[in-house]
Amino acid sequence: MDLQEGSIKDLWKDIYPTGNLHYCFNCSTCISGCPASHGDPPLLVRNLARKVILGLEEELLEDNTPWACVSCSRCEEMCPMNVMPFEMILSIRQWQCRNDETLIPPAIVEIYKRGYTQAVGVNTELRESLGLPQLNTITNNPEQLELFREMLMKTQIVSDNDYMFKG
Amino acid sequence: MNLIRCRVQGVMLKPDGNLLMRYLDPDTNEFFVKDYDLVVMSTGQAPIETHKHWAEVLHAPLDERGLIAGDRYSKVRIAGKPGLFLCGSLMGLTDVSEAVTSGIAAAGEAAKFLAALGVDGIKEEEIAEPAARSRELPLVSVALCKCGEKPGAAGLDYELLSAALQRQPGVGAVQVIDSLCKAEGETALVDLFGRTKGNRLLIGACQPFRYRRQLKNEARKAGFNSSMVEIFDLFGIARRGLAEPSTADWTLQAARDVKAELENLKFKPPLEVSPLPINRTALVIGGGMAGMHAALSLADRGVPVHLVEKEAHLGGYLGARVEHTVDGLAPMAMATDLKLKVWENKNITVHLNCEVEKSSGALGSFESKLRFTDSGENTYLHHGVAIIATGAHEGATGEYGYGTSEAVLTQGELKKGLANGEIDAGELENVVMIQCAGSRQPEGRRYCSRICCLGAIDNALKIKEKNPEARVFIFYRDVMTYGFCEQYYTKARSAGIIFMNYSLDDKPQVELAEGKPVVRFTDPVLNEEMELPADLVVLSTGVDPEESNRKLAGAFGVSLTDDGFFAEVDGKWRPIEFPKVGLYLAGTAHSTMPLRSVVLQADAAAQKAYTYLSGREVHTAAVTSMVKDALCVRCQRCVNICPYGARAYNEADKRIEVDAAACQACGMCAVECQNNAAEVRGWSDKQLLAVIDARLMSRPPASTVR
Repeated sequence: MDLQEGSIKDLWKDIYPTGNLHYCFNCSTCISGCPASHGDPPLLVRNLARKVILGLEEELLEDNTPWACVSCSRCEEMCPMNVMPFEMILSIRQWQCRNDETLIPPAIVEIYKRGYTQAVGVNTELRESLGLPQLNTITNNPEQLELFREMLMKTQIVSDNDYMFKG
Repeated sequence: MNLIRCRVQGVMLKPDGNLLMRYLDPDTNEFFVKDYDLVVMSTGQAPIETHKHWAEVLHAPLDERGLIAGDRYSKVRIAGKPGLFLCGSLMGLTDVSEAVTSGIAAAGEAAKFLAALGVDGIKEEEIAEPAARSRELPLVSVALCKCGEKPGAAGLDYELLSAALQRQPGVGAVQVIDSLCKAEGETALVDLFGRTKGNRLLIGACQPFRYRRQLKNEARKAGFNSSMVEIFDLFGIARRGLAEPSTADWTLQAARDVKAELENLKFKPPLEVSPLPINRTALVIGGGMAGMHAALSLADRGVPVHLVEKEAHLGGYLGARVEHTVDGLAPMAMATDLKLKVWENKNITVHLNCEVEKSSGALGSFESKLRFTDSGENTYLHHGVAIIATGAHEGATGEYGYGTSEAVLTQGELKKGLANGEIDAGELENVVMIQCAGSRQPEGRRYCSRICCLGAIDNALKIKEKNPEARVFIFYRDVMTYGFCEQYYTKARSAGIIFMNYSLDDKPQVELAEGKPVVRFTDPVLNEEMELPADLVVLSTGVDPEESNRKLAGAFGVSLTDDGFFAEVDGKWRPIEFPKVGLYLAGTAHSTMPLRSVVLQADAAAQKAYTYLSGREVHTAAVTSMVKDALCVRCQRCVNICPYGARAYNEADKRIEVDAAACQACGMCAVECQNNAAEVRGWSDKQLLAVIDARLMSRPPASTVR
């Protein structure tokens, strides 16, 4: 790709204007222990930071991975340069929504379907094999989940886009 | 070995005791979860607690780094604190070599300070040399040090060892001494000599390189001739090859090794120690920062100095081209100041356009031939020591289209252009800097020049300062902003300079499109091919040693490293010395280093030279080669092979002569001679064969041989 034509020099000011990001030296501490880096596609915090720094607007707009963050803040605690990557991820999400009003984040669809953004309560067999008690999750409780969906439907973003959630 | 650029978040201890780590391999963009037996952390250096104590005692405040801050240019001096000097890790992050250098430099500064106050130096105790009694049958006294019951000695059965040695022919008495290096050691040696009247002394102790001088003096005081004293590393020698030695094994092996030492000592010839007068003049080669600094350091102590510079002006590379460095130094201003001091100093004679063609002689009495390149005239100079400070210069390269476009230039050229206004930072949109151009690769400079990352960061910051809108990319393989210079790397990133890593097998490509460079590269984080049109492509070409080093090394009979820098005798413990005594080394002639390290080395080299120049004469232990005239056939092969020019054929007397002052006892002549007529004193065939016999005779049973 052509960095001169294909990138916006000051994109970081739009997305995450604290300047913290500049200190990033790509050490990848943020991803080596990130739970969402196990996903498919994986959440690669370092790569997101790089895209912001290089100003790769289009690639960032199309990137769904910021929504896979589970907000555990490990990256934030471990970052040796105090980039505050979790804050950056939230900023990218906000920027994506600002730039695309039609953006229905996949996370909201996940919430509607499962009751959680993350796959909480799916590893039932693994838990059982390890002798752990089953989690009392909303996913395992269809009646509660139905009530939860009704509640969600009353919010504007879901009701405006109800076609995304039904069927 | 597998190098992975990734920091891990943590190490997890598994129930089976293994250590679990998860990391991303950026080369493949794959995650790995792996078990390890051992995790070793590199935790760097940190100031020690006692620094606080010393800062309080000396009323020298600690800075935010936890160190006592040195002077702007001198690491060992403290601004506003005359008479107080720093060395070692109190002055910053040091390796062994720099710590040793700083110790020497600080000693020199302290001596200079005392001399300025009119305090006399400490006179060395004169100890008379007892007669060698070499014509008597060998009677060896053996002294074994217990090293004050150090753990190193644990497990060695001294009783068994003494008994084994006592049975050897030619051994008079074997005595075990608690601490030879303490006062009781001296008494014990006197006692040993009095009891046995031995004519040779074998000492087994720890760290002979540290205690040799002291122990030899003690032995001399006791009555042993110092050339008849051998000191060996008892613990080092004894442990060799035995991983977990049992007492018996270890003691047996020690006994075998000591027997070989005994044989060597029994056949040792007496060496005559003769005083040689010292010519108190110093020759300093190179009129750059190191040369001028060393010359002044000696001249200030009253030493006449001849300063030789091959160019038409003093100052060297740094003094002529570099106005500011990223850490706030001003080399050009410093050079102007030094030049003034050099020209004004009545003890310094400056020779410009001058090269050293040849040099002969040794410590105290060198004779060098100087050639003036402008007039073609020659002159001869007598001097007692020489300091080599020939410097270095910006490296050459033909990579990345250098030489085909004005838009591709070196960091040095950019620095100059920015300083004199020929390059307007305001007009720059995209600047690409490529580090390690022609460096750290099999062809070209194989080494890291240590200063170019900082140089690039300095230039990049200058551009950003004048034009914050410019985009500056620094393509690097590793950022080498070591020590406290890390702050400039951080500063550069915070200024928005983008660092782009590349590997040797995927270098950025520079192509010219209508005269404008386009850089193609792979972003290593996103693993994506990218291209960028650049207004300037700036190459960090590192530092090349001077071409003239080769000739000069030949003239002085010293060696260069494979990379063309002067090779010190020992990288850790003797960083500014050559194997040839009386020759010293300072600055970038040694290796590439920042300015404050150059000043430190120059101070240390001057001090090393001064330790000899301060005396009137030097006592040379005459371990030199000799000629057995009756065996010599005058083939002169030894004359040709001698690297120090110490051998010559005397036409009149028709014999080979050895210049004892020039001979460094390397033994090349002894190897080359077909008739065994050339021999290094103390290394005769008889001696060495006896040592080999001793080792073979007492070979351990085959089962224990590794």
